[in-house]
Amino acid sequence: MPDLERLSAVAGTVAVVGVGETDYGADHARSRRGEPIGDGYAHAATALRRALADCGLTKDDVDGLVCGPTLASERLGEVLGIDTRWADQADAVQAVVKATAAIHAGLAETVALVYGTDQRAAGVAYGGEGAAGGERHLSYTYFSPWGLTSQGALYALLANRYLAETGMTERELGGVAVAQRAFARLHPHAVMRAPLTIEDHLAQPYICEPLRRTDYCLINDGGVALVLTTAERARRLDRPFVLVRGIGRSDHNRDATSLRPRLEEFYRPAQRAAAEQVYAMAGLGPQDVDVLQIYDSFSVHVPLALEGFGFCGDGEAGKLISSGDLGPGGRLPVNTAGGHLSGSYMQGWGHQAEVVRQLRAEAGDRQVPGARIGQYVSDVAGKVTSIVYEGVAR
Amino acid sequence: MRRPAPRRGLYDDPYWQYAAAGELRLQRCSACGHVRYPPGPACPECLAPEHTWDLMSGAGRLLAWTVFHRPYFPEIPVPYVVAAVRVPEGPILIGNLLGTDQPVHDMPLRAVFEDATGADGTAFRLCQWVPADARVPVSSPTEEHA
Ligand SMILES: [Zn+2]
Repeated sequence: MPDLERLSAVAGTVAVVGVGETDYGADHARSRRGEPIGDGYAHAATALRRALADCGLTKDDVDGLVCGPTLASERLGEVLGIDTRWADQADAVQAVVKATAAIHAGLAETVALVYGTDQRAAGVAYGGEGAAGGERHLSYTYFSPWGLTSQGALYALLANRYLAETGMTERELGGVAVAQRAFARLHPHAVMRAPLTIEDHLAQPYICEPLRRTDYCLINDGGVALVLTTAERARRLDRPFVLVRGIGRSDHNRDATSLRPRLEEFYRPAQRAAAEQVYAMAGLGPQDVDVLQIYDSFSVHVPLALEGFGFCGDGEAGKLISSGDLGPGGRLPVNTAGGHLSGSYMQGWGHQAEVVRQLRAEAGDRQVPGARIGQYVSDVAGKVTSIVYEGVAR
Repeated sequence: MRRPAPRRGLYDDPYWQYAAAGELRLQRCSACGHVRYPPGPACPECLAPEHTWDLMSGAGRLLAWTVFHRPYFPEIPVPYVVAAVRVPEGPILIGNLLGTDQPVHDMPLRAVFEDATGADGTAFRLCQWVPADARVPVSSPTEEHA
């Protein structure tokens, strides 16, 4: 059982004060025209420059650095010219968790979290021979003799069983891609801004049945940076900021390669355990969440998170999706920057930036009115982490 | 039939040696009887390393499947069906579903072995799955899919 007293002592003590992102859509268009747009370090530097400008701090204020998983931490510190008294390397959600813990413990006061990727320019393959991630997830490559490869195929297997057990239709699932495209159309930096109707989606070819091309994430290049510091220091900056209110995590790795938690549990026990902790620490529940960001390499992540975190009952996500509540103007806006499907595939980093923008009421046409509580849910192959954020107006 | 070669190593080698002989054998823990897959150094239930390579019944049920429409390997033409099969001894195994184009969840299946060749010319045999009532001789479905 989580020690709620210790967790609650951390809640609200660390703030996100700055966010910076590259111009995903414009960069993607230039890249497609054959123009070089820089490597992952270039995108990281652009993002950090913008994040520092966003909060009015300088590089000299940074005494902790978390390097995203796609870059070499030594080279990143060198490129950015940052020496620190604390450093780590982590994916999007663990970066926030680790920085929060480090700041709370006094190991650092102001931490820059920096991500950059040139996955498209570099031709990173997410399936087939030498598939990315295979060194960390055996299931991505182990079954190659049978032609099973790619994270998408593994989620397609899940979706095959999940749709059958819940009665969800492909049309209902398609509502995820449609809702997120509607948000992307309101976001000037989204990669995919052409209209997408449910009929358009259903006319897309399958990649791995039952998942279609528009159920899959984009592959594009860019960078994201966040600046975290103590709540006290955040209050001294003359800017709105966002507090880390809750953290939940649960890893279910037993039988991971043989796919039992994926195909027989749909990762629900891991999601429930993470939900229990994140909501207890934050002192609230799913009904209090104004804006929700869900890690969405594939559309099917969304119904799993909606059910796993209690936004609806098991098997009810299809109805919730088709109600239109996840899209612009809906009751539970999800992936308001378009997510990985239509916005930008920054491996969850963009989702963090977006929740901050929403809670600071700076999200332009896609702004969720009055958003105060935001949540991020990340489940990659049964490694579930969630963060609850609260916006503080200035 | 050409296929990507299997990953080999200390724990995987016995699996593929038995498969080459047309046998589906998995590690059974000598201490608690748990059957594990993929092969590994210790029992995930009790951590005991001691094990035997037990012959499986060859029965299974279709847990889930996906049809690949995008080619990921040049040697495997699309479309093809990948199935996750729950075997009564415990684990879930992956294979291609052969002998039917009308899969149904939980349908009973049985294991058959199919000859394959890796890019470097090494031969191996793949444990594949057909409907339990399919009229395909066990261990030699290659004629039907040649
Ligand atoms: Zn054992």
